[in-house]
Amino acid sequence: MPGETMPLVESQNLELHFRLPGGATLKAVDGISFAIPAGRTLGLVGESGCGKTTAGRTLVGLYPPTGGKVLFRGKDTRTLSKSDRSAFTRHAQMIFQDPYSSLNPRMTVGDIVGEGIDIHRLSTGKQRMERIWELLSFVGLAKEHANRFPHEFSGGQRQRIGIARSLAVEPDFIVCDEPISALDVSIQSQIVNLLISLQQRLGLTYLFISHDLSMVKYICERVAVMYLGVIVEAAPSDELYREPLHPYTKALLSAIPIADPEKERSRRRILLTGDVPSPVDPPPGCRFAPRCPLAGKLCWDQSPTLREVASSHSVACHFVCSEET
Amino acid sequence: MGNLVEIENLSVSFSTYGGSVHAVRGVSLTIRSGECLAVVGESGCGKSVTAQTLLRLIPTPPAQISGRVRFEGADLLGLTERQMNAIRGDQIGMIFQDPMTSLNPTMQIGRQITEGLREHHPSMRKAEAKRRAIEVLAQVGIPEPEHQLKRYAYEFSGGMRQRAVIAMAIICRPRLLIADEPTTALDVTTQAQILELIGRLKEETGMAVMLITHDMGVVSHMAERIAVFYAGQVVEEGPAAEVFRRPSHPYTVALLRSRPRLDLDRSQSLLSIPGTPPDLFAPPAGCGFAARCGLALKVCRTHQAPPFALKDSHHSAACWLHHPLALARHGEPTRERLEQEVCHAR
Repeated sequence: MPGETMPLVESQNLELHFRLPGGATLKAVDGISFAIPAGRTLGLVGESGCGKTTAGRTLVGLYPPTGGKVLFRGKDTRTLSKSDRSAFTRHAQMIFQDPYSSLNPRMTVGDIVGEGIDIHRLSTGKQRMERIWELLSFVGLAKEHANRFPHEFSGGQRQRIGIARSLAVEPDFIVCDEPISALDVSIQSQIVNLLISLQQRLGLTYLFISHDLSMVKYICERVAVMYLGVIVEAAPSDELYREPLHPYTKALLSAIPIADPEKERSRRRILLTGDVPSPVDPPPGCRFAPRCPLAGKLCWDQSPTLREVASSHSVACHFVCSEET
Repeated sequence: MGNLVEIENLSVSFSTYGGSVHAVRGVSLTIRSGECLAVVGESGCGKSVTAQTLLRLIPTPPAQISGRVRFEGADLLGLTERQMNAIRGDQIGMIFQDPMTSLNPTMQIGRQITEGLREHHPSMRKAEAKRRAIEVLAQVGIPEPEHQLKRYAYEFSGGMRQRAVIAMAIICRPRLLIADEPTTALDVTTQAQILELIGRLKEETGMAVMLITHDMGVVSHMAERIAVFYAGQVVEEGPAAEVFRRPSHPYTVALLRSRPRLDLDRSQSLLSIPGTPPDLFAPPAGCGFAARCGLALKVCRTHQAPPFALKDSHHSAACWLHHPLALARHGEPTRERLEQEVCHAR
């Protein structure tokens, strides 16, 4: 929005296509745009295979985009100078989904957390060790844990180690890729509350990727819904949940059971038929058309663009736009 | 309605190199015919092991099983393997969590689905079995069922595979369907389809459902009664509406409040339960939840509470706070009080 400060991270028409053997193209991310102001949290939700993880990885530079660009502090991440590039890889970090496979089993926790400190030469010797202890205490672990190996920890503790590792290089922006989905319910809330308190304390900016819509609503100020590589709707989270506009968002929200039997039984559920089509050569026109109860001829022919239909509420659907204008 | 399943004081432990794991520690449960009982709890709380004992899927040794498991009056633990085989897949069907691994990748779907029929009804004619397979595939919502019989699991999407697994479980018209986390591996829109399907099949066939899950949302959608498991024990049990309205064990309260709810706004606070579940290699002497519970009394750490029946309902909680002496001294542990004191609010 004009007048506001520059967003910390911005994705402009970002594309990531994978070439498959045999010449087909898998369009994992197909032109998504959003901006995250500093200190805020954007939630990226969608079902498995919709491209949300690929989008997150592209954002921190793990994949080079095949189209569009990522701006970090207003600079295009593809054309950074050597020193800017090093600053970017330091200030944009990631927390991974699976705390079992994302920690090297042959390194001690201290070395896992300290690896970024060594690479970016932030401190050495005694200072380095003290920094590692400080980071462990940040995430609710103890000093003596630094000498242990990942297998000695539970899933929740491992996720804390992953968080400490990402914080080690003093990042501004963290992509949290399903950080709680591998954890048990009673541990999930511990990690979520930890992420929120760290954000308040350190002024972090998050992209929170998840398929867990209730948790996303709780954590994020703003939510973008992805379907088959594109963003179909983006809005402030309370508004999105109160008044979803895209037929997919509506179905997605209505599919989530609520932990209250009286409310749950009186709800009207929109059941989608069929499955998500393959992102290899996706259907022309609207990606959601094959499953959409509203789809008409226009939807099959022409892909709707993401348009702002109300203040900071955007949606990519022919029907919604025609209603509003 | 009579009791279809009666589990009395069931204990299951496994001998491992590291010692003995006490996975289930004195569970008593009943399932009435035609009802849906939800078994809720976190991973490692013994819910799946309890269900697998019902089908005697747990080999002894290495496991040691004690207690009683009765199905329609017959003691399952005393049956011979041959008698048990007559029940498995015929009287009791089971759906597993992961549809990717519970189907045989080298066997045609039609053959897999009719395997139970061929086993339990050897005299059934081939054409009749095929007709049944088509019928049951249609019942679980697989389009063009006659064309699917010759296909393989890899040609199906996750949701379709789970439908095929359900078809396989219900083809013999079981009296009890055990659904062990049937939607955990699926996306939410697919989950909604599968839950709707299980609910519909239950109504159509009158079978009882034992639904195992960790998701309170799924429970509220399906269950008539709930049993909450923690550290190998049932900590609370009762009619679903009651358990949601008046959760009475501190763990149940914490479980309900540790997930944000979609229908509440963002100002709701999320409770964190401190700590982790106890190690079942050396289970605590008292209540399994005592170490994480802000309301734990001295007795909680040394003695396991029996289930206390709550006022005017078939609802019970295994928590000393419901003992008459504790009630007299501390008053009713209402939901509000439990919420405030059990966990550290953010």
